Amino acid sequence: MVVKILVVDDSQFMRKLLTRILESQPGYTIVGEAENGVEAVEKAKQLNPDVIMMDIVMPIKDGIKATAEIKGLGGQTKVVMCTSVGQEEKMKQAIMAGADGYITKPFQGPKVVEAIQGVLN
Amino acid sequence: MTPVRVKMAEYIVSNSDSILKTTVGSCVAIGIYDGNGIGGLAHIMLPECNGRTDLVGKFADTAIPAMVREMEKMNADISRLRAKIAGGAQMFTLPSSLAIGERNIEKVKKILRKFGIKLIAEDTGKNHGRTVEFHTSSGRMVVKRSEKIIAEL
Amino acid sequence: MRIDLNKLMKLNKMAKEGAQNVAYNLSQMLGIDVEMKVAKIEFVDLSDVPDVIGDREVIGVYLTFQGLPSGFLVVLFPTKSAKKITNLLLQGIEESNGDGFSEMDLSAISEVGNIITSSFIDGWANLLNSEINISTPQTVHDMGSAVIDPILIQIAQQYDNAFLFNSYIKAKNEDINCELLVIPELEKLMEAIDRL
Repeated sequence: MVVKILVVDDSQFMRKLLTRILESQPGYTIVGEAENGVEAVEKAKQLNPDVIMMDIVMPIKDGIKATAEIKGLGGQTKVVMCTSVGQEEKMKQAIMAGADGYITKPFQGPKVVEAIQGVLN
Repeated sequence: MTPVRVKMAEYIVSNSDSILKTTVGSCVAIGIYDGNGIGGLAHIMLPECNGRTDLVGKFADTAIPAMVREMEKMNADISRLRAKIAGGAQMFTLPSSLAIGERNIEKVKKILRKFGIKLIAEDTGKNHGRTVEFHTSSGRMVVKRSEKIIAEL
Repeated sequence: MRIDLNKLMKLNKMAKEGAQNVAYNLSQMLGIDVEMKVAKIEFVDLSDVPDVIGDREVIGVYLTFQGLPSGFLVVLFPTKSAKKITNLLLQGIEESNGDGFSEMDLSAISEVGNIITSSFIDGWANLLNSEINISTPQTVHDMGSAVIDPILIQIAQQYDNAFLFNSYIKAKNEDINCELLVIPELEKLMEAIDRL
């Protein structure tokens, strides 16, 4: 089974980096990208991904609010928060909002795969 | 002629043929001259002094009067003063209350009107920095961006 | 304002704490050896800062931070270094398009700025045991003095001086460098060092 992933980050570069990392691995496919929390919620409804890689600090709507809304939809989608160093407090809020796992920037391929496997198992 | 640098929150007035130079983002460079050999350049940061009397070069409403007074002392023809301005850009997207570039330009224009100084030309607004070279005698103002001329006022 | 020697040493400790994380995280991201020096902490006249930075062309990444302390951060990348960084990061992602900077280039630089600033602020937050939130970065390509100008204006609404934390980041074997300027709000900074 191929894991369907939605990448959410306001940084064009981070979206591209994650896409490249995951597409170079067997078993993952990027089904969509979003650059803020509002888009993330919409695309989560539309695309029903297995995993969302979710940035925390974004304009319009942040990753914490978006996670809460997506989890509120009641689907099976898992959410991996992509955090920067020093966002422990925000991470706590994200976990309370329903996040399933996290990964800290800057990240490399193996860490990304590990985080995704972690929430799927 | 080597340009003389005008620092942020400062102004220089000269009665010898000089080139005054400064770089502004959201700040405003104000060149004032009488066309008869006397001119000056100010680099203001904020519109209003709110009662402060020190650091006159920092605020539009104190820098312009101070320049005019000094030009008057040099026997400039005050009735013939003209101005050219550059700057007041919005370098970043900031909350509107902090859109200081625009407020700076508005205030500068208001104070110039109050003193009866005619605004001849301007290169203001947009989202990029400007290096300004002001020729005090002729009133020529050259606006550059990273050494490239983008406007001649 | 008076500041005693003791507080000055605390300030120094804060700066070092911030710098420690930066080099490690940046080396990881870029895949090259990077070192970071806290060049100096200076009490400056705001109006002196643009001349120190100069009119050289840079890519500037601007952020604000809120908490204890609050303030402004900017990372200045000389264009040559910025180009080398984008080449390193975008290898195999997107072909470089000559001398200019594409949106993707600026996005990559912005992310490097993000890593530098969040690593630095994290050092402070750990030392002070406080929560400090950082804004999303904004990136501009312009003259250094013009990039810093709106930041100085924001501080100038209240103050004429500021503590400037000025750090220099350099790759060991490549011609890549950049400068980090951190300007905390004075009152909040004093409150923060009183906590130490």
